[in-house]
Amino acid sequence: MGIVSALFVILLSFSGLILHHSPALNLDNQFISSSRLLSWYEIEVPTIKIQYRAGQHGVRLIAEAIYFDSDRLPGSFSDLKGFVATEFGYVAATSNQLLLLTDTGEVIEVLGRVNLLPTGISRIGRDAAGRLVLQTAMGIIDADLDGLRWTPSTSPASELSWSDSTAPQAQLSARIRADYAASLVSWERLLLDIHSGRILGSLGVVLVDLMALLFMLMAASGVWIWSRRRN
Amino acid sequence: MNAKFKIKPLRVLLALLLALSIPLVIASDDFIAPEEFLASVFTGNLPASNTVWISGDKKEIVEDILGHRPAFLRVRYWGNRDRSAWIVDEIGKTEPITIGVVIVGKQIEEIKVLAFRESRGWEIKYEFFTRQFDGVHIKDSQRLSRSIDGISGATLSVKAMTNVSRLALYLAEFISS
Repeated sequence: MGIVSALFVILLSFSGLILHHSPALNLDNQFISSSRLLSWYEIEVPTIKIQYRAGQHGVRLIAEAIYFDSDRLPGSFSDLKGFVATEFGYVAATSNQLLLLTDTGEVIEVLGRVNLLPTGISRIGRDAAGRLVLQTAMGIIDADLDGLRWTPSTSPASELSWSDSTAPQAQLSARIRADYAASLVSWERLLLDIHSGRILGSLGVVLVDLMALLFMLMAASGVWIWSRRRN
Repeated sequence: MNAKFKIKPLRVLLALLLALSIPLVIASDDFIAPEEFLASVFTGNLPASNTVWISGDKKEIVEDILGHRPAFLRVRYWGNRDRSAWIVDEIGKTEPITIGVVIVGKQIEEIKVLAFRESRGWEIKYEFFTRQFDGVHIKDSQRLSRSIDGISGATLSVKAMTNVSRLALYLAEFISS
């Protein structure tokens, strides 16, 4: 019983010590990529919800993340409404934001309500003259990204071409899902679960509870034995 | 003592816990719309916006200020060299904090938290903290001219706000006259 307790004390002290310095060690921003550890958590990796392509590149939405090709863009997003090529790179649209991207997928700027961008975007496309247009809750809008002007479009609907979703390739989809899965469980989470016993489910929590009771019992009995010897 | 007025420790404890939880509930709903912030800064006459590109040497300096690679290539501001307003998102611990900064000349006139999405560290939105930035400018290596007192339990939020103030002051130097 003493050896089992000693092993538990070492495990709890060691995990507690590392957790204590977790921010300094940046463990909350480092994620587990081991498929074996991830499968231990029985994580169901989401599938790609939607994909749009333009030119040589494409954007995909998986859970709350948008990927440019197979690279994740910073931020979290609730939806993805379209993707068009522009003279400076690309524009990806969500229902309330426009992500201005370079042709290598770097975020130039994110335009949103602070730029008076109309909300409720459902599609992005171009008119016959190549100007950017948005289908919004307020109707079809001409989007002037230089002057940040959003004016009702006068182009006939038949002359507008909209960005349409496409089916993602299986190989790329698997790569993106693997990358997304590798951002779900941080090392801090793993250490917390080891420390609390949750790594073994509810049984592990009970086990740690029992060990804690055992430590208290041993401490109390130790003091009692020591005081008896002194007397 | 009359039994009617007897203090019940459990009730006192529950009341205390409830009182302590109220600020957390308020914090989660806190939000100032960016357009509202800009309207208050420019009293209704919103000037045209412009951008400062983070390119060349600026990239390295901005990375040094933020402590990480910036998630954007240009930052938008409203106003001119004399008085400008900046709205920047910066991660505290895991969620972005939206911070508005007003710069007059080379000094901070006002700094405000417009949206706070973290579960801890919301104390940075209070004036007792933000007024420390009033009149602050940057010195060598883009350090603030005054040291900012931290808040226990809000270290990362304080760091995010300090870094955004340094970023806005640094980028304001590149507004063309």
